[in-house]
Amino acid sequence: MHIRITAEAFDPQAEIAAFTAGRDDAGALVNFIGTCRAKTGDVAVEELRIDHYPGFTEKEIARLAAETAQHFDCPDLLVVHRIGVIRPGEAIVLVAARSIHRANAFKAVESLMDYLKTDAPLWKKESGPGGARWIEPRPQDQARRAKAEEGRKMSETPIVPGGGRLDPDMAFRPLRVAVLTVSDTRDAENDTSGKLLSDRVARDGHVLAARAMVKDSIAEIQAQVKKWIADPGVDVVISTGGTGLTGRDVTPEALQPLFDKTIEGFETVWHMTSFQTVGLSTMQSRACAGLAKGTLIFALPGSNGACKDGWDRLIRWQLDNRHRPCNLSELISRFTEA
Amino acid sequence: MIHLVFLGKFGDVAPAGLGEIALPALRNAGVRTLGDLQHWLAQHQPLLGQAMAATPTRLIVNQCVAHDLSQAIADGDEIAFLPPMSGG
Repeated sequence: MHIRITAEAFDPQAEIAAFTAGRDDAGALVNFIGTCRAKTGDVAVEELRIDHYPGFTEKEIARLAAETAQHFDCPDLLVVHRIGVIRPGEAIVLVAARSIHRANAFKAVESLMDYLKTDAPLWKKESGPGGARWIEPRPQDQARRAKAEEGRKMSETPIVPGGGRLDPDMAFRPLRVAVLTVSDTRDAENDTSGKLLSDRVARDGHVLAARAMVKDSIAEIQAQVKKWIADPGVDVVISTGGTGLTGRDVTPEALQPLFDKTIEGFETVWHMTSFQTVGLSTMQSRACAGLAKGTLIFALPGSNGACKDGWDRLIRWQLDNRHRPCNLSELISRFTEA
Repeated sequence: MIHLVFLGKFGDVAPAGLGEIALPALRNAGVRTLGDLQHWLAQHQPLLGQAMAATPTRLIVNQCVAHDLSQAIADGDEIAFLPPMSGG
């Protein structure tokens, strides 16, 4: 990160050349150059004077840039800002971002500019034939700044489906999750849905306690799931596959006899969720969930899309102890109470 | 000694001699906190007082944002008064 406050006129192209010199690790360079206008509306501008507060101005601009860099994962930022007396046509500010891909660089430059307009400790005074006046942020600057802040907050807070929320004051408690792939045709090499679920379990902070694969066979499914039910190191079992309507689909028939309680609400919410992706076809799914001796068991379909929907939009949130108004995770210790 | 810094349009209305004030003089006038200082300035410098009353004013003490006007003033403090900023 390079921050420079200068009372001398600067050449933006030379600054950019110095910023990128000898470096070939980025695929994108985005820059914005703000220049002094000769007119504000119909009023001629003869000069612009920018005051700063030595020390504090540099510190605050560095802070705004560091926050931007961190938020957009775009560490390579350049800010050059003029102070003192500026003539029309001269550059006032240069913000540039180097990044592997363009998307973050575009966003970082735009967002940082929105913050600089209202939050950089600089004060502009415009002088013309009619006298001088101090410039304050315009309502549209304030609006852009508010929108930029909202954008940053939104992307930090995951959108919880169904209007739920995560309690920011609670610490996340990981669960130990076992993933079972049920398939006649898949093997360890092409078990994409089992991999997808396992990756997501870890991505969202839980522990992948075990992973296995069985054929579409009631005996095989039950044998594996019974082992996990008996294992105190497994809190949750998620299976993928065998929930359809064809003759080979027997996962619900295998699991339901093991359930002490069936979670019917899961099926309702699953269909509401899946309907948004596959429409009426969701009715072909017999995805189900239940409790067996305190172990939570979910049976998802075999397709990757269904596993994504099932985890990302449903199971993930109910296994998160921070989810409000309530969740399955916080109930786990009570499933077996007398 | 307290060092005062007036930025932007506050600088236009603050008299040149206001940059440094002896702490005992402020203490004698009953000034203990940032809020007291702001009140005292408004009384003794009506133009400055009006300018500050007309716009959101931020106080910076020793280069750190002051969030609490009940913060006590100490000898050697540099206190800056900031009108709304306009960078970019």
